Amino acid sequence: MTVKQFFKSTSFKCIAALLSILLVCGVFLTIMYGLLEVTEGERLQRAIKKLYGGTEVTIYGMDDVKIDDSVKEPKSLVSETVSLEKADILAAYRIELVQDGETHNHYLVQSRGKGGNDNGTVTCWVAVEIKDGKISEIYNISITANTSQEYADGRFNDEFFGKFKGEYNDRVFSTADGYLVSGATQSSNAIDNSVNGAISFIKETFLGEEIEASKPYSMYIDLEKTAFDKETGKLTVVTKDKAEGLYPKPFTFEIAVTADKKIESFEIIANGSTSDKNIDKMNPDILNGTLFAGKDLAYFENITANGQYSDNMNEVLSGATQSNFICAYACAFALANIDNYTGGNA
Amino acid sequence: MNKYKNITLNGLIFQNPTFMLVLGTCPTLGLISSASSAAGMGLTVVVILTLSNVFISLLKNLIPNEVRIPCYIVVIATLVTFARMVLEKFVPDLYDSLGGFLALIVVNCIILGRAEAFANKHTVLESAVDGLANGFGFTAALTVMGIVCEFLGKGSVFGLQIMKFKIGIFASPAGSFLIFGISIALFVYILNLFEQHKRVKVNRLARENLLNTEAA
Repeated sequence: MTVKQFFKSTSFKCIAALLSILLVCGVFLTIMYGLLEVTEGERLQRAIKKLYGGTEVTIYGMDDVKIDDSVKEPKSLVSETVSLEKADILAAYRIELVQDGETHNHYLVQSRGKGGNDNGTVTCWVAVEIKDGKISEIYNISITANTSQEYADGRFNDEFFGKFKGEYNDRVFSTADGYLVSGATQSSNAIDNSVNGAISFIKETFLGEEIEASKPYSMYIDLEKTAFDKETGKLTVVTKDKAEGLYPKPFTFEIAVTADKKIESFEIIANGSTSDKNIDKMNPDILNGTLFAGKDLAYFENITANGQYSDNMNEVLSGATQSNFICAYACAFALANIDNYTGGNA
Repeated sequence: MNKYKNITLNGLIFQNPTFMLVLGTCPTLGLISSASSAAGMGLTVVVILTLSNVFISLLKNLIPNEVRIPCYIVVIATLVTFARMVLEKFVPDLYDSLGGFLALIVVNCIILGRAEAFANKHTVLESAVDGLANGFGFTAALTVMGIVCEFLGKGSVFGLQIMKFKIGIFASPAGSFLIFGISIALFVYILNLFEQHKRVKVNRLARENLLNTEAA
């Protein structure tokens, strides 16, 4: 085919038509994006309207600078994302509002809760009232975004948010308290994590309260019941009941770790799998402890996707996936925290 | 004029995309648990469907037959993206309530179906009327089912609480599926009754004409 023939061919017409349409559409959308872009300032004002209704509020950002409707890129009290174990803090503002002639001080925090469906997140605005240097009330909460939470769209109503709102009494929110949206349990868990993250961030950053440093891989672990036995040199790890929206009840493990941070022995003392049928489905090499022996933290990080539960796990965890995952997670916890329990003399 | 009446009646009733052709089931099942979301989705589809029909009808002679489907998809995707921008800017609550279903309009078979079956064979005006008729047919179906689902599932209509009694299943896609099935059955039943009545009337007129002719 000559060049002339090519330019006269149907192929060329097809390419030209498709590219022309793509170009026109691309230019049109670029212009429209410039005209219709929703700025961060607009998003903040919308969040304020949702959380505070018609109440007039004054927003303060970084360096106590007032933020009004005209500000397109408001500077938050946090200059960059703060990563906590179960949440990321994206933005924070100080709010002042006058109600019944009294001035109320609030903090408004945008927190992205981890641990949602398929490793996804739910981002919420959390508004809390401060009195006498302490959090006195969780004023309101609103969801702004989510990732991979298809079951969450439009399902979280005032009834669900009611569990958070009102007088605050140092409570840590969890799906185990029974307040969750059925069918969106893991999304409910991500919202709990978002609210808990926002509260601990406010306490630590703005109120100067000391928060105990969290242990890595402790999301599913009952830290009060987990203990190290000096005589046997084994760590007894107990997991939480239906932790973070998963089905298994508490497991109890005895795990020994070698000096070079590898699993020496792994034994299931109490199996929290939901039924005998599910225990039978568990990986037999996990049940008898052979699969994990000799493995290091990198191995468990790999098979548990860095400790975040997902249905799409490595095939080693197939079958009763959640129970298998809890077993691998407990080993990751033991390897990452053994020094805290032994004082570095494992 | 009769032509436009036929196009309108087909889109609204006789070839209603939801009840007769059972197209666009994904947003139907996902959104009819709330009447306002259902109506919002319907109206968004009206705009996108009408515009896509108009543009495809305008471009039909310029687009080679071999690449018509990719071209339609590009046009539809552009319109959906534009609609998303407009909704996010001016109606953020509706934008939030439609969630992922808004982006899924790109692959809504009503829109691609009308482009392929109608717009690329008809004039711009006819295509626009077809888009409006099918869009409003879809909107009406979604809104009616949305009202029923929301009333049964939440005891409210368009967010206004009417009664405390509610049946949880109707607030979920499973309940939507049930209402969708019952609505199709009812719609087809009523349409059949109407057709039957029309047939009886035509037969009676024909018989009367025959008798009159014989008498004459």
